[in-house]
Amino acid sequence: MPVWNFVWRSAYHDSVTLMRLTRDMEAVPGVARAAAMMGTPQNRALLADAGLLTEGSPDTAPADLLIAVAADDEMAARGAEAAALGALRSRPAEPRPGLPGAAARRPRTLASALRALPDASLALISVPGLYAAAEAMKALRAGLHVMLFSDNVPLEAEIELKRLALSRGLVVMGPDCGTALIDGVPLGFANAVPRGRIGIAAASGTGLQEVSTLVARYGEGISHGIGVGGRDLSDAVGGLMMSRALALLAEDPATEVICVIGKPPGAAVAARLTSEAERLAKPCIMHFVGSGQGSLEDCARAAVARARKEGPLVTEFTLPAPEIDQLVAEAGRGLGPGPRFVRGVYCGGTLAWEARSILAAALPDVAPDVTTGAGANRVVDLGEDIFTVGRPHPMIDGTVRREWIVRETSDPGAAVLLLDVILGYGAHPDPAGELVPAIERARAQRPGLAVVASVVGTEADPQGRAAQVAKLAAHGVIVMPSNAQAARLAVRLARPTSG
Amino acid sequence: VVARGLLAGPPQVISAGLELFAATLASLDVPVIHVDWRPAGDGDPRLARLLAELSDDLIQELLEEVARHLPSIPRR
Repeated sequence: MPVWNFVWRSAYHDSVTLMRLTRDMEAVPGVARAAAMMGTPQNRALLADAGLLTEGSPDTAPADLLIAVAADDEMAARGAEAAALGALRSRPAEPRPGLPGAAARRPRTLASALRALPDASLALISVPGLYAAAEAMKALRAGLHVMLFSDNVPLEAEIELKRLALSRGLVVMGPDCGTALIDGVPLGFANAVPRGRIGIAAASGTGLQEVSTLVARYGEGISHGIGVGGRDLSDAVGGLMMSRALALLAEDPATEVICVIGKPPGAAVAARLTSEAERLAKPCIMHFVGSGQGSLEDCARAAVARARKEGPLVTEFTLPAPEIDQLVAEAGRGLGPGPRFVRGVYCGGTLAWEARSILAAALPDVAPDVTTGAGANRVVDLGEDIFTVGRPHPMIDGTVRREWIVRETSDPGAAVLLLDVILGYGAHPDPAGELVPAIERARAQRPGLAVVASVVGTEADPQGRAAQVAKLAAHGVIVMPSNAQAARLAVRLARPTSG
Repeated sequence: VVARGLLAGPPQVISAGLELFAATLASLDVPVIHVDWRPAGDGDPRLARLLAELSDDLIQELLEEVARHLPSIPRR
């Protein structure tokens, strides 16, 4: 099918707006595929890979908007471009009513925003990774703490920012920090959890979400959740912000128990963190996802038990064994005698790693990471940097995830589809509903497919956890109480005769 | 200037990037300002970096505004 490229010079828009333009363009009759991306070299490469870059496509600067349309004819392609323009025009030019500053002209720089909100204490930065470090630097110089949501920020820039922050008594949460809860305020993707006495320091956004929502489900609450970014615990960054977060929670009067979560740290960082945690005057529970020991759920349970001065409850499944056996028997009924592979299609990075490590401990041929997909049993994390360049995170828009669900279940051996569904502020308004069409397509091509999921969230979240669970259950999805339990059930389905 | 501690009270937020984050905070009555951010100098990251090094807010803002209207800087 022929492809057309259009360029709008100096027309910057964020990835969520671009996603909307893409959707509107693809709704135009005669249009097969469309994309709207900023004209960076990375995005041009993505478009070329997708067969959406024409040979004579004009050069673009990163602030130019590049529109690509595969359509029946030029009239349809031009119609798509017009639809994109229409979508931009219909966008509210001013902030929504209720957004402070709505009456005034919107500030275009951090410096003028600071004049409009002189008591500002924190900058939440989610601009494209290419520019994010520069904005974070400006915020630190202005005396603001920084939450750096952006990913694709160079490692050297992260180290420089964190050193500068420490020298000024400031904190940098991130880069690639998806979640924080500061004094009850949810930043980025966070859940509506009650205030309480458990403090979390996390090098993992979805890990923080899983632990904080489970703590809430067990009847306790969160004092603060400090994110530090996934790379903080590497020996290169040296756990600079994790140490700072631990010290802050140790001093915080509302915090009685501290949880530290992340992926396994570098050797030097691990040794230092352990000795720091031992010196704390408060109980500190550490959990490193993928270390082969425990789960995020165990970490949440242990924190609650310490706060209540009880012994921790460690359990493989919350449901009694006969009910699990029955679930396995029922879900496995449609599966044939051949190989049974588990395919995890995730949007939460830490949850993907946790699922991968549970599969790897029990099944053969599990892919070694969560991006390449080389392995009969595998988990892919679509929130990884390589999948999010120029695109919204899969927690905001599930388009890429729906494609992967269909792709991963097209393999004749695919028997169990494993999913995470993440609720909360900033996430899609109906993440379960958004996945249903892909689940149905997967079932159509692979009859008997078992679908297992966990839903990270609380009843107080904008999406409401019970309603989301019910929607999945109505489409035959087995919803487990935690990600770890979902992965363990997937193992049972793949190996029905064991354990 | 002594920075306020991160946990010294609910944050007041300046948000740059995804507007949905600012909208969420506003809906929860958290003081927030959303910056209508766009890349300076036609998106040249080197220029953005140089501008970030400037310490004078007003000069920085003025230069960013100028840079935003510059045509693309020729690249190698």
